[in-house]
Amino acid sequence: MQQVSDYEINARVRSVLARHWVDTAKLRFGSFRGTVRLTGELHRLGGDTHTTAQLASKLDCIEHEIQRLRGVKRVYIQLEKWAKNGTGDWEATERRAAARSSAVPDAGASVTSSESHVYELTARDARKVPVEDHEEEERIVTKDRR
Amino acid sequence: MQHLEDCLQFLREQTERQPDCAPTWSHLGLVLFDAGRVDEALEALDRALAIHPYYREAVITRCFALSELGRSHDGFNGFKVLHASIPDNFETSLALGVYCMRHGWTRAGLAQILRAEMMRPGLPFVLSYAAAAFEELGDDGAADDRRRRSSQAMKRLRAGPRSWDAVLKAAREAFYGQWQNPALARVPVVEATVLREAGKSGEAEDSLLDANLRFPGHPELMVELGKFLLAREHSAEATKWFSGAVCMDETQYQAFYELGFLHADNRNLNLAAKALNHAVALRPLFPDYRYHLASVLLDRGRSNEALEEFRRILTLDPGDGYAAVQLASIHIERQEWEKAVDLLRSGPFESWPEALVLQAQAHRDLGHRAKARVCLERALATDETNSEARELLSAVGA
Repeated sequence: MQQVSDYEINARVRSVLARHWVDTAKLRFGSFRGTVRLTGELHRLGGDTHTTAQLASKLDCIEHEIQRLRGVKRVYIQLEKWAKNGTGDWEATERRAAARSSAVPDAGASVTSSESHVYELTARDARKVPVEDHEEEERIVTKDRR
Repeated sequence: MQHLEDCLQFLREQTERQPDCAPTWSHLGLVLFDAGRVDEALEALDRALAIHPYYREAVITRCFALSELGRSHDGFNGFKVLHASIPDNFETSLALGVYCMRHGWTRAGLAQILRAEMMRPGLPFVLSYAAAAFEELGDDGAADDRRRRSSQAMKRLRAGPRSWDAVLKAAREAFYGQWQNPALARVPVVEATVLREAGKSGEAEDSLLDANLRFPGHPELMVELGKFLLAREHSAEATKWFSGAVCMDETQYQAFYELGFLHADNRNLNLAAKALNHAVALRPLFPDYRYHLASVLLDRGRSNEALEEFRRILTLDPGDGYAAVQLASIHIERQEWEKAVDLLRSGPFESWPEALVLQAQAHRDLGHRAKARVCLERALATDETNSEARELLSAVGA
């Protein structure tokens, strides 16, 4: 079977995420020799009316669609607030609160791009900085959150 | 707005889910303002500003809302605060210019609009505002010049109607010459989101297409339409709109980023690399942009450049597993096994099966079979189905 490059797989994963309106400002993805990994937080672009159950179902859909992509051998998903239960279904957890208080960073958690979440910085940070400056600062603050 | 009550309900639900989210309160304020419900708009905008005092869209809309209540000087003072904090901001200069024109402060208004034009030269909707301002000041020559340049810029687009001239004329009459809040261009995006969530993606797409006709040459709206088209798997059309957005405005980093993937889908990796290079140049601290650029460079056989990009990511964030794994793989290919081991043995990614398999490979090549076995057993403990780990473990031997 012809080898599919990492970048080609990444482009197809991007298409899957775009179809499901996943906000890739908070969710990082990448592949290495057929292993696809997703880390970060699951949010939908522009706001979300989905219930937790609907999001769990969506995550399941996303996982299966990525698994079916040509060249993908396996998919590892490590998202804040989500874990698989004993029956292999996705369910929401409270790992995010626990992870923030823990000294050990989440395995695989990575800094992501930030396009619209400057309000999170402001909620934490007493400095009053105009919007543009937040875009770059969000990276460093997000890192510190791990 | 066609779906006003649906939008308001959606936004109110969002503010209940995320009461500390300034953008959501700001969007609610914007939609209420667009609907003429100024007092309610001010309440929502004040909530946004309590969370984020400099949230630009909220500040600007609040200024226009105060103006609607006859408090034009309070509105102007609102601009001063924003303008003082970032004097060279495009959106603020443009909105302030429009605000001044609205209140008959024409010279000040034109000066601000021209400042905005200088910051983003050639942007059709800014040129349209400038044309309207010159027209009010009686300078028809300058007004015609802006209109001509706006029309020429739109002709470069491969997306949208065959001729933009009629669209530009209608937009001038309906919007630009009325000196309305430029932030209102955001309202169709909110409406499209509501329609999308209601399962009406086709209507959402139509709504954004209409918005692009009402605000011709507005790069952010072109990007939003591109995203919708992408989500609906209309990749060719999405490419046109993203390309149009960057043609209008070279700072549209999101458009460049998406074009990187769209070109890759078409196996046009040179264009993909070029687009991602632009995205990285605009957002150098975004590790994921660099990561995808490095991946496409690697695919093109430009491993030295890819290596440098992965190194830069790790300088920004030493815990970036995506970059670490790729960089380690390059080191192994170059027989720099110790470097690969050093990179992989610590960090939040060190328990990733793919990182453990690579580490095992490096140990095996260094002749450290026992260490290789330990790594592979750990990889299989995390994922017993990992075939690479199994194969390598058989090769390394018991």
